[in-house]
Amino acid sequence: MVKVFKLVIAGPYGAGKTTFVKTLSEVVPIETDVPAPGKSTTVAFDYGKIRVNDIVVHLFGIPGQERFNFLWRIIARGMHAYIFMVDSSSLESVKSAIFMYNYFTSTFPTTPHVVAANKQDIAKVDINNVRMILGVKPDIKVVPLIAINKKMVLETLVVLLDEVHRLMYGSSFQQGNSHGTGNEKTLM
Amino acid sequence: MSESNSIVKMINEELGINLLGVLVFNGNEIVLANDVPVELMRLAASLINFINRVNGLEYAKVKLNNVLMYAVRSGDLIIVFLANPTLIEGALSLVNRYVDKLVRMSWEVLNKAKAIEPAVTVEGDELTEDDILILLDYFKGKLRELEAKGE
Repeated sequence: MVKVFKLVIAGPYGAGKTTFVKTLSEVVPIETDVPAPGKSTTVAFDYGKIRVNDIVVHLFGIPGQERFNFLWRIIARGMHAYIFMVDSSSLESVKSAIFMYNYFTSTFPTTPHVVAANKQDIAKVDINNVRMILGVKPDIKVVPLIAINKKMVLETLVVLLDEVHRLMYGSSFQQGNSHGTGNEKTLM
Repeated sequence: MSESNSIVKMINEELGINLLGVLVFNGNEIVLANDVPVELMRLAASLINFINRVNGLEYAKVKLNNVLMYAVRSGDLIIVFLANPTLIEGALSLVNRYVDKLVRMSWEVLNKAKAIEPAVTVEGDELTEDDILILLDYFKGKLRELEAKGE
């Protein structure tokens, strides 16, 4: 039986969600237009997937514009985890993520997530300041990211999966974590 | 220009006023909004939070942070007009004539979103610890491959 792992990539417009999905997906990402009254309004959400044995990882990039926030809940329904991306190339772009981050953390308070500070190659805001501006809780990880860099994208995903595991089963597999279970040898 | 931007432009032209924005909420979620700054959206969202907590509140006028907010309930929807606080009371009440149009637009958007919902929504299955470990192992393996290639 094929199982679905649903991963949502959230973040405001321009955070790099499309790039992230393109870098990670094994299939050509899909963009969809949602019809709006009178004409077609482009509400591009990205979709990609990765097959891992009998598990299909579905990636959904959520439209970042706040005026489409009624779609956020629809797309996020049934997700296992989310990566919240911010454009860290300017202070303003990080601040523009506050509304959406508050929405996600209040609407899905128990869903595992990490915050990815994207565009670190041209970053003006380091990850500590991203944490402070968004009000990210101390137990939530903020990771540096360049979404065109596949290695960093994979690292972000590994950190997230580790969070999923930690929250679901109370252990972590990150190197140096004192709560490891011994399974690290088979995983690292 | 989005439909919401167009209607704000139309209201301003027809009434000769300068609305800063119009937002329509369903519960706490925005259904329609013109391109207003995030700060104004937050102000409107805080007003909506308040209105949703008060049973039977049909409209509210609030001046907050130098913005006049006028909210009107229509069934499940609440329309918020954002204006400069210097706007006179009489002019503000004229925006009521656009409520029906905004409500119609909002329901069209909500119904169309509902129609596409099955297509955009894939719900995750219940996963075991082994499933998560398989995923972790797979992506760590991909990372090792990249490192071995020197990428």
